[in-house]
Amino acid sequence: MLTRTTTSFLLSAMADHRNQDGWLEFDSRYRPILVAFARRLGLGEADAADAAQEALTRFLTALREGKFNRDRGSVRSWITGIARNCIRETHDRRARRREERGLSALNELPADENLIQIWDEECHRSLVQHALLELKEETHTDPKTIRAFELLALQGRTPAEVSQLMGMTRNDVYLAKHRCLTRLRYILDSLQEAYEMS
Amino acid sequence: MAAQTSSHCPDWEQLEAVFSADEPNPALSKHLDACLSCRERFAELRANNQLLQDVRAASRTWAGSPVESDVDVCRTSVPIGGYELVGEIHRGGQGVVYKAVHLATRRTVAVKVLAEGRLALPARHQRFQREIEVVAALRHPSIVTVYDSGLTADGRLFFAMELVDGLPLHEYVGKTAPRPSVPLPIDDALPLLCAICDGVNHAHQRGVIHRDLKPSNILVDVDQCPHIVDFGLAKAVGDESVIRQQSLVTAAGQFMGTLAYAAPEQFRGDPNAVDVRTDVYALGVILYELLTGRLPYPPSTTLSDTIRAITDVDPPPPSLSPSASSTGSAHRPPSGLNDDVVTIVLKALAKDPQRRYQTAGALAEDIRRYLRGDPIDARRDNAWYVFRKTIRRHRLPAAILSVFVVLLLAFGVGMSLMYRRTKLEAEKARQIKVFLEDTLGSVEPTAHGAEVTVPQILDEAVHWVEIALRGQPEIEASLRTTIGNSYRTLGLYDAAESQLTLAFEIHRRLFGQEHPLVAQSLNALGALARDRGDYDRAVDLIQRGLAMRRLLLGDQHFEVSVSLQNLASVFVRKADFASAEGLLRESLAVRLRLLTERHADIAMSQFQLAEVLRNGDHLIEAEELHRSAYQTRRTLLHDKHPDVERSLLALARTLMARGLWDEAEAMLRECVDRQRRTPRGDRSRLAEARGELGFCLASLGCLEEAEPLLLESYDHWRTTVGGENATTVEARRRLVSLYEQWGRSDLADRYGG
Repeated sequence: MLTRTTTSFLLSAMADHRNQDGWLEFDSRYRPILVAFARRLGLGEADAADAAQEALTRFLTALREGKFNRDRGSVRSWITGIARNCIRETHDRRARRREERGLSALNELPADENLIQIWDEECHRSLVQHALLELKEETHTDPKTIRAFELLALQGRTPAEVSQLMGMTRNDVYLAKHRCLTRLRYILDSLQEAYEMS
Repeated sequence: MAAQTSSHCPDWEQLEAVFSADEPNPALSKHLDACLSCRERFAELRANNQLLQDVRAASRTWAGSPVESDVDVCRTSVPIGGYELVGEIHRGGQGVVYKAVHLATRRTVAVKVLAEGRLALPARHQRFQREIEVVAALRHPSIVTVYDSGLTADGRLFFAMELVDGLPLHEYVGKTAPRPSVPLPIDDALPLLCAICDGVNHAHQRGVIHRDLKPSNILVDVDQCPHIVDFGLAKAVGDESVIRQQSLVTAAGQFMGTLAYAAPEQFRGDPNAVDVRTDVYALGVILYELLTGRLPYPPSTTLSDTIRAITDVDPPPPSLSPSASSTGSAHRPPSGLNDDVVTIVLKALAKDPQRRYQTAGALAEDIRRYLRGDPIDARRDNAWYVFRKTIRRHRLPAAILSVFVVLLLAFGVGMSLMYRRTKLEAEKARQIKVFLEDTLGSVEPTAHGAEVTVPQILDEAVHWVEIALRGQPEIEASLRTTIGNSYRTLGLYDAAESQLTLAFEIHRRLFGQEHPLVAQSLNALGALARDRGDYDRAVDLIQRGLAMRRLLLGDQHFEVSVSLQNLASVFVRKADFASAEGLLRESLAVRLRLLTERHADIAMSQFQLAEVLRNGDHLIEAEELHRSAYQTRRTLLHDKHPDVERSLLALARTLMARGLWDEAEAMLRECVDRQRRTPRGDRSRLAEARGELGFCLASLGCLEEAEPLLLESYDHWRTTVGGENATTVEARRRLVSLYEQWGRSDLADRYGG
């Protein structure tokens, strides 16, 4: 489970070389987003993982060198900028390899104006994934309720099927769905606050 | 009221049914109106169902399959008086757009409702209200018509507008283009943008500026007609109170427009600087994007960098991306954009609003001029351009046209310099114009027909100079220099020598021993000596010119960089690469200080340096520089420009040196094809391309195909520059090597001896 430490606090903690925890938390927050972002920009699984690693390393280095100034831009614009460069470099390397083999070396990177939007979408997607995990892990929501929600919302079963499978009334199935979604909204709000997205 | 409605509160299943039902449930709707608790449950349900979409999307993995939806969360029953909402179309920053039926007329419309209801700030309400007022006043096929406005049951603003069955422009381009990120064919993009301009112009004429034009605000219907929506930032021209509130970057730093489409003046914080030309700029960005698939200034790593690019950096001239060029319009050369189109786009994107089209109508009109084949307004100040365009419009025979274009190119540089100088220079320019017209007029298309050649035109020109320019030695020298250089590039060295020598003598007579024009003549004669293979003389002449230029103009002058390059080119021919490299690095450094990075002259310097590095076996760096120069030239120059081909040939040579024969072969075939397609083109260049292709084929083992190519190449050099010239010797060596490889010792002996 992610902590609710704010991104600002994490950044100040990470600036200290001895603080491993801050860095680990930051890494688990942003690495999945970076990988998904790279994949959206056309990289394969392995290349995306490499690009994310490279972006995180450069981010940390720049942070510790004091190059990041909150007044000049958000964490988001900074990290998307770094990620974009890493992804572009990977694309360019691949293009050169293709050229050397006498193949077309077209760069498939999508239009740049969508970068922030793509980042936000992946960020949101990642937060929703974290929220789903937390929902499953937490104790005060009944496992049966969560199971009904999964069947209905995530596996595409009809309310009648879920009702039969779980031995619940149809209204209870709907109730389970809304309990889980309401809970998810709450978790998501607190995550967004920690990420300082709102 | 409550007594007439369902007395029991609906359960969750019943509430869900409101979302998924095709028909509205009047009894439930009435209950909702009356029951606060159910309204709150309903609001929660709506929020939950919205999140459900995100949850489903998030639960899909890259490899996983999407989960089928069994609940249409777009359905809504937010009560709006007089309308039945049937679905959600779009959710944006300002509001949500629903598809709806106007109950009284049964007309299907789009209804836009402010997204956050009572939570919305008063400023937002004002903006929304203004949007309604502004758009309702506009009636144009390219602007979405507004029918009605009012408040929803819970006090939110809404307005009803024409429902456009279409896609936002960016999605339309995505679906129409052959592949994602490939732009629209120019023949589709230009009429489409004209129609958008017409709508914007209509609004401008009624005092309305859009201020937020971007592809997502333009819907394109099935008939490819655009419809502009979201006049959310529009304001009436001259409305001071609005202007003050609507500076693009507000005190809170909230960015209201969309960065990429915002004009430079929108960043200056002066609301009065924003006017109709701000929209013209956005139209320019949209046009740029439609034609190239790219933005003129891709968003940078930081907001401030992007803003700096928009306010301070000249946009790269639009060009088709490599992916687009293979799928471009069938009617036009696919590899580059026409100069007129480039000019139109760059004029719309001018940083200074004064230099832009002053209205969207003017932009549309210029595009239409281009589509009709008329001279465009953006280049009205260039008489030569208008003249050429007029001739093209009158459909003169192709031979005459090609000659004319060559002459224009030859004069182009001189002309542009002259325009900037004194009255004498203006007179010179006028004389040259008369000269061109007379020369062209003297070539009777019927008499010469397709046999008219550039040398013939040049001969006519010499004749004209001798008759018409007596008593005007400076103009005479200038023309003789141009004609001499043209002869030289055509491989007609004797004729070139005579013209350049005459020009040199005139310059010396007029200006004495030391003068920039004397230096120019020395340089031209040096280049000729170099092309003839007389390298010692070439070095002597060019060094004298260089020394004179350094003395008169200083080290950091463009003319100095020209001399440095010419001198280096002689050393290259002499295979003295170390000397050449030093000179070229100095030349490139001078140019990098004087010019912008993407400049034809920078490309020239990179090209020559790459050639030197190639010969020094620094192949990787050479290839990089060549590719860069080639890209710049493809971007900046027209497709048939000889420099494009020179770059192609050099790149092919570099690839051969790296052993990449297959890619080199394809490039060399393109070079030879280009030369063949140029009637009476530069024979030396054709011989060069053929020689290289022959060499490449021989290396690939295709001896039979290689032989005639190497033979023709050798014959050309032998007859034009003589048997002892280094180029001829090399051509012979390659031929002999081929015969040896083939086992034809008789022929090898014949040419080897």
